[in-house]
Amino acid sequence: MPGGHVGYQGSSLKINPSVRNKGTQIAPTGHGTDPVRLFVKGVFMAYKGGKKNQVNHTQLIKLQDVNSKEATQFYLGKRLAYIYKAQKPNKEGSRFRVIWGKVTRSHGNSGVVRAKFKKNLPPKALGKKVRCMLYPSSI
Amino acid sequence: MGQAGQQRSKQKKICNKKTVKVKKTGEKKTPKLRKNIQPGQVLILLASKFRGRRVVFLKQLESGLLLVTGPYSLNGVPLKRVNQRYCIATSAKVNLGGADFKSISDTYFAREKAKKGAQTQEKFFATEAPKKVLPQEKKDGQKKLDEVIVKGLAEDMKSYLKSRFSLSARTFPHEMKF
Repeated sequence: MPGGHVGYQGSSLKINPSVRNKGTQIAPTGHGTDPVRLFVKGVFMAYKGGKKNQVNHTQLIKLQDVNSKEATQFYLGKRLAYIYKAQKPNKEGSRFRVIWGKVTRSHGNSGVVRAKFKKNLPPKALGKKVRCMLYPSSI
Repeated sequence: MGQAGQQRSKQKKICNKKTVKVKKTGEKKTPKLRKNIQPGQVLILLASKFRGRRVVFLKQLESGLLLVTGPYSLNGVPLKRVNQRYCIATSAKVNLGGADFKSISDTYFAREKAKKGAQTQEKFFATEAPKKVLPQEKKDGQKKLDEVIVKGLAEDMKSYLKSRFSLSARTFPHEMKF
């Protein structure tokens, strides 16, 4: 999947942060390696629900500086990534894991957005950062 | 009326026939190209190894993917296929200057089929896969194509293509005009 790799790295080659410190860092290519952020920061605020109920399959995400319903229009359909660290590295040696999701609709008038993830976000993710990618893009 | 099933299905309808288009299985339409993407447009790649890079759009391939080039000498992006959905079209446009990319299609990017039957003992137990090096002809083709494009670029456009797009603390995509 094109979105499968998560990286907020400067160099074109993804370096496992835990490997970097061991001095086995791969030399970055010469074409500009400053960090690039191509996602909007968001926070996993809550699960959908009211006073008595909680709907775990829909999450409420607050995206940074998106403060009105009109502003959320841009983000509908964009992919979301909840990134977390695990003990065991995967095949490529990375300890980072992702749960992918999508912005489904806006929620309320103040720019909060509803999202659905491939697997429901775990409650430990409440209050944690979520990345809203800029793709699928329609501009 | 009163016809057996098989017979009925063989009957021709003798009335105003609306020609019905029979959809061939596997027949695909090339996905629509977004209106604001024109040849020579500068696009920002949103994912993949080259995320954030500004590249020049050449043409839409049959598969619907966009053919794009860095140019390689400016930002290290070779001839590449990109999905429309994974790039942002900027309003910047570059004059392609008659660069020849007509011959490049989806087959240019097809994987080289490994020759079957050459499974010798060594190959089977080889721990390292043979390195996939881009054939020289492809490299030359890339160079030739890029030369034409780069020639027609102003200095500021060159540095624009060299730079990478990034969001910062005060930039919000929903408010940005690309």
